[in-house]
Amino acid sequence: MPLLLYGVTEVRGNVLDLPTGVGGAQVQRIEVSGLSCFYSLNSTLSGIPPRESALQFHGVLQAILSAQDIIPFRFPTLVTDAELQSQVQEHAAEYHEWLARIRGRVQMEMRIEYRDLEQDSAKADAGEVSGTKYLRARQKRLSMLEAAAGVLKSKAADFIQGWRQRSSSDRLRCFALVRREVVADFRHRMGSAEISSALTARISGPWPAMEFFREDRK
Amino acid sequence: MTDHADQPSKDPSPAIPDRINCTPENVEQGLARLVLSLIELIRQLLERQAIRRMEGGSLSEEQVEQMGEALMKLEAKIHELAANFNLTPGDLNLDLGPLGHLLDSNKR
Repeated sequence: MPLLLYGVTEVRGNVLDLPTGVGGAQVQRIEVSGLSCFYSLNSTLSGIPPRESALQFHGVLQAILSAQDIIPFRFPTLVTDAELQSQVQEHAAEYHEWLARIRGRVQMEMRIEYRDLEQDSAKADAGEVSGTKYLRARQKRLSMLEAAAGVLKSKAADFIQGWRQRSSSDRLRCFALVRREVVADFRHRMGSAEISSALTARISGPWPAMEFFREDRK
Repeated sequence: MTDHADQPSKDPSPAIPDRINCTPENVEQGLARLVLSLIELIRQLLERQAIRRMEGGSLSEEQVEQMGEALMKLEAKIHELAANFNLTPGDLNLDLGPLGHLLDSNKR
């Protein structure tokens, strides 16, 4: 029966109660190359609505993350037992190194969006603005997003051990690497940050610090 | 700032993918999504370049107007085509797995 993979952690941590996994399957743990690998036996995921199974998967990750640092696998990763062993053995050194590097740290996400995006798009789609106005508005939007990110970053600079930004034309996602014990204080600081009323910002987390893992692998 | 401590965000985890799902029934939509995503990527790159040139003062007012109008019309056309395939602008920001999302630019 295929194994649905959730993630790998260091062996040192303890998840006392292994949660129920996707489709009600029990999450199990196996040690490979000094790492704990979490999986469940799922013959198929086809009977479960994608959103529901994704949320169940997410719930397992959060349960593990609440106890220890984790490198999640993409969902759905279905492998055989032999494939699990070879995959983890092949990347064990990389996993060990990264888990040691982010030990005790989690990722917080701040998503900043432009409030009147739909209204502006509708005007542009209808050709109600000039080309110059359109371009100036885009310039202003980008600079407002950048400025807001700067405010958030400076508000909790002493907590932040890593920072990444991903921007598109209408939003900015900021990722902060923080120690677990300062998550509540970090939230509080972010909550008191003052940004432009034309923007909305929301904070979520803690998440596995994958944004930093991705960057480091490039 | 809104706090979403216990709720997964729209993009709840890097581990949850958003893949192009090409089946015989929706292959046209999948293909349109891929093509329009690439066009939107190029449009956004052009837009950023135009803004940089505008900020640098290397464009005349007439050129700013022409570029802005072209980019605006292109965006409107992309939205129109996307809607024809039941796609939203957000659907064009493909998840490239470990590389992030197609339309996101990275900054450390």
